[in-house]
Amino acid sequence: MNMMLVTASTQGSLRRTSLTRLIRNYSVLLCGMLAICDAPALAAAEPASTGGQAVIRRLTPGQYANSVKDIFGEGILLGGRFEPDVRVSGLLAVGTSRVSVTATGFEQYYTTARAVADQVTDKAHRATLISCEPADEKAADDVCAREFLQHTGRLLFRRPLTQGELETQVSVARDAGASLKDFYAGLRVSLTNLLVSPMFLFRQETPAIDPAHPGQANLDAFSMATRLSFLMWDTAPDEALLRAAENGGLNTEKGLARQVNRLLNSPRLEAGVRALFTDMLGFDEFTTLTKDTVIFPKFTNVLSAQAQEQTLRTIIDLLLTERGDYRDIFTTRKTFLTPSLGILYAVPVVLDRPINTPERWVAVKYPEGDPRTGLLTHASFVALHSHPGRSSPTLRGKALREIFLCQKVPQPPGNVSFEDVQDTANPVHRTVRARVNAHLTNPVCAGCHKITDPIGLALENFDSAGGFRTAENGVDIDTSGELTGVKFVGAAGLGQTMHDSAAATSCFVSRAFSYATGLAPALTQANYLKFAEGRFAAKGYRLPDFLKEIAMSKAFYQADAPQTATTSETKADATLSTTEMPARVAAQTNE
Amino acid sequence: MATLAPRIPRPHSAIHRCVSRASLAAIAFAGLPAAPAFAETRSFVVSWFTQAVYSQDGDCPGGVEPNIEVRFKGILADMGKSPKEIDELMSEFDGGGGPGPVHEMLRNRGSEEGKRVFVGDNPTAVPDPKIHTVASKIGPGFNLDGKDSADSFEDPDTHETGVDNQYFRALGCFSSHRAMPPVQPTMWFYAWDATRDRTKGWVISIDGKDLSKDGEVTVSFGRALETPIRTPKGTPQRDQTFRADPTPRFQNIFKGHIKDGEVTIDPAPFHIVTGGGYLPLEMKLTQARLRLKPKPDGAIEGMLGGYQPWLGIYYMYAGGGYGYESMVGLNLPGIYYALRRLADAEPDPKTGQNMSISTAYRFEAIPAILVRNTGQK
Repeated sequence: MNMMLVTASTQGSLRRTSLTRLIRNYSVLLCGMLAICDAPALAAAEPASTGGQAVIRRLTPGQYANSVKDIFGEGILLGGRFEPDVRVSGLLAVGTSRVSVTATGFEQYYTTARAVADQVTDKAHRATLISCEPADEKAADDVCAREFLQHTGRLLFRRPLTQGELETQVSVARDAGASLKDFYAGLRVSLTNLLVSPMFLFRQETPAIDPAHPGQANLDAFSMATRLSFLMWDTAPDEALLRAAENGGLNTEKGLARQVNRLLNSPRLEAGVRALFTDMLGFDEFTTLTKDTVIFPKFTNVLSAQAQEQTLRTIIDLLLTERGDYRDIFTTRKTFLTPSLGILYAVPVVLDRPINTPERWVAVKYPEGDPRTGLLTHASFVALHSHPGRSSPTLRGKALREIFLCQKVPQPPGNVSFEDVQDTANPVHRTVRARVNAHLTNPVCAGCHKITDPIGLALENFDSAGGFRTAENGVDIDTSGELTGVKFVGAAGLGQTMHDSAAATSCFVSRAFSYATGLAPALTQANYLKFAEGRFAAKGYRLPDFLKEIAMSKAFYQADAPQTATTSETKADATLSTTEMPARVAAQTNE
Repeated sequence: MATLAPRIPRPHSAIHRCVSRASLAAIAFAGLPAAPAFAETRSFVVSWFTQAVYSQDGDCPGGVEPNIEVRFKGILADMGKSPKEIDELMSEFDGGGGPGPVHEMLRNRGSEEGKRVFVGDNPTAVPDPKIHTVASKIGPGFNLDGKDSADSFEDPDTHETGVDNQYFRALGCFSSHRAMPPVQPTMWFYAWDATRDRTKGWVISIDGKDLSKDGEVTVSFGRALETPIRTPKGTPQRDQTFRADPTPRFQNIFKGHIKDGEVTIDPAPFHIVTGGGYLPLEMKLTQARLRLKPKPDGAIEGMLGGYQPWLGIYYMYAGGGYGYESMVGLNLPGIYYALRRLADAEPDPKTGQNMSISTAYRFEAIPAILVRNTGQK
């Protein structure tokens, strides 16, 4: 039996009826419950565009962890792992609306939920995390249970619980507490139910129909708050943002700006930006990255984690701390290193204290003219996009085009022989360039390699692990390269070319907007994206300003109008207990 | 000879060469020290360190020291035990360090003032067991005293005669101390491996005008503030950054020479601190010699020799306790007496007993980045 809990689409591949069915089953849309938002009077020059489908997005593991941490505090330990996300249109953020929860996946969620609920209700935490005390710990207490579940449920569901949802869980707490003769054991069951509820595990966006424009809608206030919060902080809306959603504070330009500025000016913006680039740069691939440690003994698991952190620290420093130009990520000479990364790059990393602390980070600035400029020279790029035992100009060129230029490079045909490029001990073809050129005598291969290899060959000063080299098999490495007609030499030349590339900034605008909305770029948004590119340039390619542009735009909150469920269906489903849901889903899936 | 490679190996990459040049000035790293005055510097960290031995068949005329069970049976016989008693006692011997009656008996076989005492702490509480010693004419090290005497060796690599390495002679008939290079003697291989994670890096730098040519250089050999980071294989990583320990007594500065690609130093005292444990906490050598030879892979192989207080060496073994006898197969009183008997330098003015013994150590050092004068406390 297919145990799919929830599945959704952003591309219209899922029929509208399916979406309606989902909405019906999970009481996602309670249109009558929430105020229909007026479209904010936003940036005057913004061109008209329409949103895509309202999407249902599974929380990423990071978002789950951030939400639990924010709601219950740092002291609550998570454990285990969730099912992997799927990358769609270059982003996991888009893929989160294309994933389901398998039986095993649900078990993982349940185990984690139970562990969280156990901790929240244990003696060490209950005094601080549960705002009330029962009249008798050995008996159910509806008043206290309702107070806790109402408060916590609102934070977990990112909206107030419906009366039906709340009373269902109060009832569960009552029955369990009475049966077990333990108020907190009862509360534990209810909290577990909330934590495995699709309302928590999935971000369910609710379009609010604009009567003046049938067929179009804006997200309701709580969906707005959720989008905003996950974009800026990668976590669920905090109390202030939920309150703003409740009192109409997001429905006016002034009120929205107040919240957007608050989020932007918070140190927590770093978490949001980290999540954006972790997704965009494909760092999830590090979980399966291996290097042949006989060939590259410097590459360890520790270094694998630090390579990602190096890049993220560099980005945060450049784009947030320094409020720098996004394009400089390709050329910046400043980065951050640990002793282990210093070993990899063979550069000095001098700690500022005598104890041996390899994980400490040190700010480093390479000299003018140094070949190690920009993110493309970081191990997080050159090592991530290489084979375990040898570099790959093809993988690097492909990655650059797909990540930074939003271009799709096709997979190679199944019947291609890679014998030439794999033979690193070839006595004639001693460099990668020579081996690749030999490979390109096959015209079937040449077509794709022409768009990848001239980029990747410029990075050949970096071996498969990211170590710097000037020769391969005793032969000096030629790092000349070309990108869309622009010729250059080496990583620094490639970085400068990318810095100056309009396609690169255009790609970032598109990717960032897709990340924010969870939607693959659509033709209907083309005008807005063009407009956003202009705004990005006008603001000096500064990320905080660009995030504000997105957050204050109409496009960010637009969605297709839904087909509404009937009142009776909604009412009935609103009272579904969590334990009933899998059965309902299974039934739905089998339809 | 004034040719280039292999000489003192140059790092493979331009960036490494850049930062290896002692100035490091081109790279604006936070906290970077001021530029030393040398035109060229190569820095290394010791990756392994072992006693220098050269074991050959027949180099122990009395034979290689017997294995643990045979030796223990002999000790029990010397203690007056009958064959039957010995068999009964040794039936309890499990190859470990005890406890048990036989272990207690062997451990505390010394006798002082009528009490049984541990022979490691009281090696003179038993008569000299006269362990077998090396009688070969081939042995690694340096001619420390300038003489070629009957108890001197000829170095197998340099063919220098008059080599003084009585430490090799004293313990070279224990199987744990026998090896033919490049194999390292088991005892030292284990001791270094077990200690290095708590031993601050031993860093070497060679500074000179042009390290590709014969000439004068300055060689430093000292302790760093950092411990080497290991590769997945367990060996130290190349290209790690080390800060030289600013404490003067942890640094040895030698006047050196490059000739035919090899670096040697003028005799001078040498002192370094280890992480303790299976190594002596401190190694002090007088009239120390050093030879550094480049390897094709950019590392250097080295030989360090000098006169070392033999009691310090003995304490290293005694510190291992009875386990060094029951598990490694050493004979602690035998080592004590052999070191004392073969000590060949620095006589005590009162007793005339030589207090130091000639030693030699082999090691390998791999490229590293060494930073000095960071102002660290």
